[in-house]
Amino acid sequence: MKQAVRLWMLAAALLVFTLICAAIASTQSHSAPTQPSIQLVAGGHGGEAAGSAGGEAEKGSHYELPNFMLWIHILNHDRIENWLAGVNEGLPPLLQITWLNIENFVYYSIVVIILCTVVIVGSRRRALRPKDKLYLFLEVVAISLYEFFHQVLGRDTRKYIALIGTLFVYILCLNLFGLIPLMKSPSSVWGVNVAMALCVFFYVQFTAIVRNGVLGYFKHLCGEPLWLAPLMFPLHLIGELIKPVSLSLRLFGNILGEDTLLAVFAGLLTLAFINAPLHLPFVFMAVLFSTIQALIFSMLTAVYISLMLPHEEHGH
Amino acid sequence: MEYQAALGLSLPLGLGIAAMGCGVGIGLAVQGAMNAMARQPELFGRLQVAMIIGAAFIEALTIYALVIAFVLSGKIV
Repeated sequence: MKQAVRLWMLAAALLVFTLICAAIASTQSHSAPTQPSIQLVAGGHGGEAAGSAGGEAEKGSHYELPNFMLWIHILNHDRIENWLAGVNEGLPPLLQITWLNIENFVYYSIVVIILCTVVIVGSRRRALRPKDKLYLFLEVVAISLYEFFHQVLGRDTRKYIALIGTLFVYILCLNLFGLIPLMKSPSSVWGVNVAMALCVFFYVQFTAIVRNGVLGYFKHLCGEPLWLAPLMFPLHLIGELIKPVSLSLRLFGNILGEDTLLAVFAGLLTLAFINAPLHLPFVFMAVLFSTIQALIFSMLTAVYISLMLPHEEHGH
Repeated sequence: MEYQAALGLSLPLGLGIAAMGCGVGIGLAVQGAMNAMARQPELFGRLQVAMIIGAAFIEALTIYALVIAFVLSGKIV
């Protein structure tokens, strides 16, 4: 127990270190007096793309903190644009690649690689009385997640904790990734979130069909008094289809809003008379909201699954 | 009126209206949760989880307005 407490303290220290790094990095890159760095802060993608390419305005030129893929793009702008144009010639219009796609792919690949490495290395040294600190940390995370979701799922927790716990850890890492200097939250893009939300959607429907049977599934969609089925069936259908949209939009809007807020307040440092990290309170708010959004995504997944389970008394 | 001016006026205004309604909603939700926690402190944990989930549902409405603002703010420039 003492070791667990110490591990949590270690995690908290890491978190504080990340916060300080984020603050320092954004301070330095924003208060640099040269013109290009100011452009880096305020430009975002639409801005500098519109400057050279002429009319790529529909991407939306929102503020964002500097990240290293953006720097790579600015430093090798012409070469990358030529390469992208060459690639895009052979692709149908819906599959056109922009630099943003590559950027997000790189960032969430980094997160996935880090997470997989930590978990594989940590779980390799399993033992009945483990001495490995990484393994102890992972065990603390897993057990606390299990006990938390046990409130919702009851005795079915063991079956579904793999998906839900993974979602929680993954989304938390995605959200917090934007606070590391020169990185960006991959979950501030709708595509990443909609992928996760679609996974949840299909998994919930699959679970419902497996646990209730096909007939039971349709009966569940028809609602309780059977003569109301013509009214309730479309309603339930729309309700099921709107779930992934609302899940993904909630996460996307929150994280994008956070990052934009941080960037706007960090961008105030470029004004001459302000010489303080004004965005520091919002960094703490960002940590809080990241955790809450990860919690809510996984919690709603658990709730959707538990609504579909057969022993439920149809309490919608 | 040009559409940029209309967007520049209405996006913050719409976001503010959405935030106003959601503020009232979250206030009511937290009020109810606080009352319940004061009456039954042993249910603190479960009530807090339920309150956070409800607050997230309410907050999502503002987030939708924020997403619309982000989408349309590219058209102002």
